[in-house]
Amino acid sequence: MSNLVEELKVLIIDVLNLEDVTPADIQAEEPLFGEGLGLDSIDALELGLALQKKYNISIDAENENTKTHFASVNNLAKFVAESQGV
Amino acid sequence: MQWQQLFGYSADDALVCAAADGRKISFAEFKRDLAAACAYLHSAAAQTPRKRAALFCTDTYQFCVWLCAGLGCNLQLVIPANNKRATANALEAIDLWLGEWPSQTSAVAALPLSDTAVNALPQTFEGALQLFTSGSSGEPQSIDKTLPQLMAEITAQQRQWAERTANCAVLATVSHQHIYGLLFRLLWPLSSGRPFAGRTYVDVAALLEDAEQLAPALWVASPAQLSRRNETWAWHKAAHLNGIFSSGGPLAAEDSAAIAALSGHWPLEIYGSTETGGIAWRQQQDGNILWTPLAGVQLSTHTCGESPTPLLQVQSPWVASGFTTQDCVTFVGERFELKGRADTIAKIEEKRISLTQVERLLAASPLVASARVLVLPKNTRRSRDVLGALVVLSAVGAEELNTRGKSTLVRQLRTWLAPDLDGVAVPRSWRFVGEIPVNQQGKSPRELLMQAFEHDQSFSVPAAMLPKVEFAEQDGEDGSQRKSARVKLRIPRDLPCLPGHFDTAPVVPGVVQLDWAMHFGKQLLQIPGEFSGMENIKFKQLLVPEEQAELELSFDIDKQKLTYRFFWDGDEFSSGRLSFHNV
Repeated sequence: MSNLVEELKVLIIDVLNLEDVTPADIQAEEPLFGEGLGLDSIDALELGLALQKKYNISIDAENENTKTHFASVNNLAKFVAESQGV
Repeated sequence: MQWQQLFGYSADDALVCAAADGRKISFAEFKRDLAAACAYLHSAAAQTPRKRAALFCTDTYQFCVWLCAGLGCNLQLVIPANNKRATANALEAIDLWLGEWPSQTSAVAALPLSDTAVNALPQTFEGALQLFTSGSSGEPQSIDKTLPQLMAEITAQQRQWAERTANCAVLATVSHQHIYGLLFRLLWPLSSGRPFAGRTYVDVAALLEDAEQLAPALWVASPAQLSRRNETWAWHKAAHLNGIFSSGGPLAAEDSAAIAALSGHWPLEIYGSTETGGIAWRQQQDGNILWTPLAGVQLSTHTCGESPTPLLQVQSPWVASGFTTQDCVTFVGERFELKGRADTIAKIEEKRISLTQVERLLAASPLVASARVLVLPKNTRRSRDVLGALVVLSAVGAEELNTRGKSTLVRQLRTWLAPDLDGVAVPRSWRFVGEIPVNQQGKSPRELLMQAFEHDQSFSVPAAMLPKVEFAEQDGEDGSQRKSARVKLRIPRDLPCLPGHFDTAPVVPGVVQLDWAMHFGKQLLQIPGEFSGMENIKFKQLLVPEEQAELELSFDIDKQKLTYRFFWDGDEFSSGRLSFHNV
């Protein structure tokens, strides 16, 4: 799981071209959107697409749970792990 | 405006809305909700002098009920793009806050219950609307609209697209808080008696699923969504769509073609603005880039001194008076091509952003002395247009940068802006500089500011370690194998790289001079590659803090060598050559 957390941090930085941000700067528990890392709605689209492509998982953005999955890197890691049936 | 003009549903059991929670709301149910909301507004507005209500709802059905009730109760409905604190603060003379307003304690979040009493329905709708330009940065302009104006445009759109839209349910990935969404996903289906979906879809996969349920359907989209696709979504379900509308900005040709390939529909693009409403449409089939005016729209051009390409002027039954856009155009017969904007308002992901507003908010931070903000276009390193901020830090800010580092400081500044700005208006790329670069005319044109963002950061020296730049000049490229630049410097005594050299006789250490040469070489001459060595380094005279110096730089593109020289008048302090190699 900790590997996946680090992998996701790198993915987030790469996909969203976050200058000045290193994986160490992203707290696994902090909110990705709004407060915390401060990502926006377009970032959410980009990130959702990248996750679908990289991990071949389907994301239902309309599902309330999806908000929880995208709340932090930790949640995202749990979601990806579960979706892949690990 | 009469009831029949606003609502085109023929029977009480007609479907009005497929609600976000899965309910199917009939016309009869809608009328009950509308009557209850009207009863509430009548009593609430009776005590208020101005009859102005601010309206923001995430849910389109709730929005629809409040909107129709407000218009039926002769209110002026103020409909901003978002419910951010700064947006609420900027609205003037609001009596009622309807919908979701976290910053307003008196806001009425939920619709009144509809089964308490039998309430009367309004027969006429005389209220008015105030919309806002798609600014995401605090100073969007308010635009007054009357219902007859909006309905005049809907009549024109209906005439243009009657066949394609007949009986279609409307699903949208854009908000109803903007004119395009308000017209296309709400007022138009209402007036032609078609159902709409209550949610704003984030996920196209979910939209395609629901399109199958509600078929035949239309997708009211925008370039932001159409440009971000996944081939693995169930695109075959797009067969249940009768068309895809796109508005908010021109769709890139590649995106239009890709959507056509995936969905079988060439997007129908609508060109317009909050000020003008709809102006023209196009479909990029067969490589077409030209826009065709909507029926009833009179177009002309206006040439002003600053822009070499004429600006588009619009007159139509749904514009109060003739309006000159800031869009440059070239006409080809009756049709025209858009040639970009003439003003400095930036547009990112369909949102107009006032750069000066972002600058002003930044400058209000205790960490910042002054700031300039510009749009950094999409390129190989950036997957989309973003804002870049060039910031001169205050003493407090400089201290933060020295002690806690750039990434922490950037995060503090983003957090500072977040309550007042939409996400896309918060700068993504940051540069901290000693001062905002100016050219010899004392101006800071965009091209000059851009240089700060385009050079490779890995060599850059922290701003606090740099001398004050009094003047920097880069020679125009003459096609030769050399690029050169000159920088006039003054060396402050309190640079953090100076202490320790030496208490009794302060000097600028040689290694600091090398750093400066490399920094300004990278910045002004865009040297590619990595530092690989140095030669012929000479320190001839001591360079002393508080002095002035000139730095001369010349880069040999073939040999990848940067020759530098620090001097003042006849005195030469140091010189040498730095070599680079490609990674």
